[in-house]
Amino acid sequence: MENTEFRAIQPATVRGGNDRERELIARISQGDRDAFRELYLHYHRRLARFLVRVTHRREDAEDIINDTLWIVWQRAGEFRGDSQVSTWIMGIAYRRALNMIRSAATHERLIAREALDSAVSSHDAGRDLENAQLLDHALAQLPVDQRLVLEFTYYLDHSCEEVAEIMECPVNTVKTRMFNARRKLRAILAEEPKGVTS
Amino acid sequence: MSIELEGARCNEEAARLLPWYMTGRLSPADVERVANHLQHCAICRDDMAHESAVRTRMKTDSRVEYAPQAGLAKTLSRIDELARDAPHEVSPPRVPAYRQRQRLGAVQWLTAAVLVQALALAWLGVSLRHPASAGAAPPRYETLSSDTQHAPVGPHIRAVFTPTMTLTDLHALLAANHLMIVRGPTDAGAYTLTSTNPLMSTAQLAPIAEILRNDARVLFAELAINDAPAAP
Repeated sequence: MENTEFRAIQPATVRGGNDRERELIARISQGDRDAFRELYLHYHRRLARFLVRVTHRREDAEDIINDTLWIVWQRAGEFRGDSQVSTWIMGIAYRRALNMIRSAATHERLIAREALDSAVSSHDAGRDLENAQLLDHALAQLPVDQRLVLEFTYYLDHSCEEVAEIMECPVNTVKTRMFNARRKLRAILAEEPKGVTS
Repeated sequence: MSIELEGARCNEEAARLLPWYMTGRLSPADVERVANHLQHCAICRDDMAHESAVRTRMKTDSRVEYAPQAGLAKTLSRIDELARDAPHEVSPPRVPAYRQRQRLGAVQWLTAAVLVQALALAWLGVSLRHPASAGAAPPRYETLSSDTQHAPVGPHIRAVFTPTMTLTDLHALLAANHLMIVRGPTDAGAYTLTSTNPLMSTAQLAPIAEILRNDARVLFAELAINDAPAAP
């Protein structure tokens, strides 16, 4: 995907990080384990928070992280360099996560229900935790694609073009999903006993 | 959150860009477009406040603990298993595609260099096949077993002995094999030996050369025949 507009507004820190990641990918393509270790530790934190949020299961998140970086090890030599390393890796993680979420949809709804029950019944829980659980519950009610656009944008700070590349869809589709997600999320939160934004 | 704006909707394109305006991931042109829109759209200003609160809540989620070492060890182990399972598998070099493109220029240069080498080799081949046409005289060089100018006519042996071999041992070895030194040592330490029997043929001398070669004190022993006339 041509993305010159996005690249023009990348902050210097992002460009520098991408150069370093490209260097690591080049070394990994030659079988450099030290480079792989560095990339793994860097992406583990980023992927762990995102994946635990969307799968609600730490074990699933760990499996997806390991599978994702295993694929990076195997396919580093195929990295085209047309996109950012982060977009490429997040795209791999996204597809793995999507498969897992869809195959565990029933379980997902159960977890969300438990989260809501816990938030409502726990009088000792702090307000922040309650709000976080209410938000999780609201997010869990969104269609997967809408929810992931929100996570990629608000949680991981990806641009609209990057999200389109990760999800392999047109930029306009991302904008529409985001617009619908925001409207629906706001409606759900308005029905909760304590609003996240209150 | 403003009650009167609840459920209100702005359908302008700028409203669809609000999330990325908030995260600072818009182009300068779009930033200006959204900023101008916000000045006169109360719905989007209210949306902005709401979305900002949602984002803050998502970003401050601290319930996830990080323990990457176990996963890293597991994945490295998986990599080791892959290497063990296919240690001799021939695979193309795993060079990133963008680096391969960078190398295209170098490949073209190398192609030209190979072409020049091929031409040089062809010229060399013609020169060797027709040395006279190349105007070059046959090369003159000597080996340990070549002593055409000074070696005696007829079968003889060129031999080099270990530096630790004593004169007594040398004499004993020569006597046992009916040999005598007729020339040497050369700069390379080689001696020319002939049989004490002047009628000995090449075939009869060959086993003696073999005996010398099997002797640990002999570094080199080679049967030679000089059919050329002696140097004037």
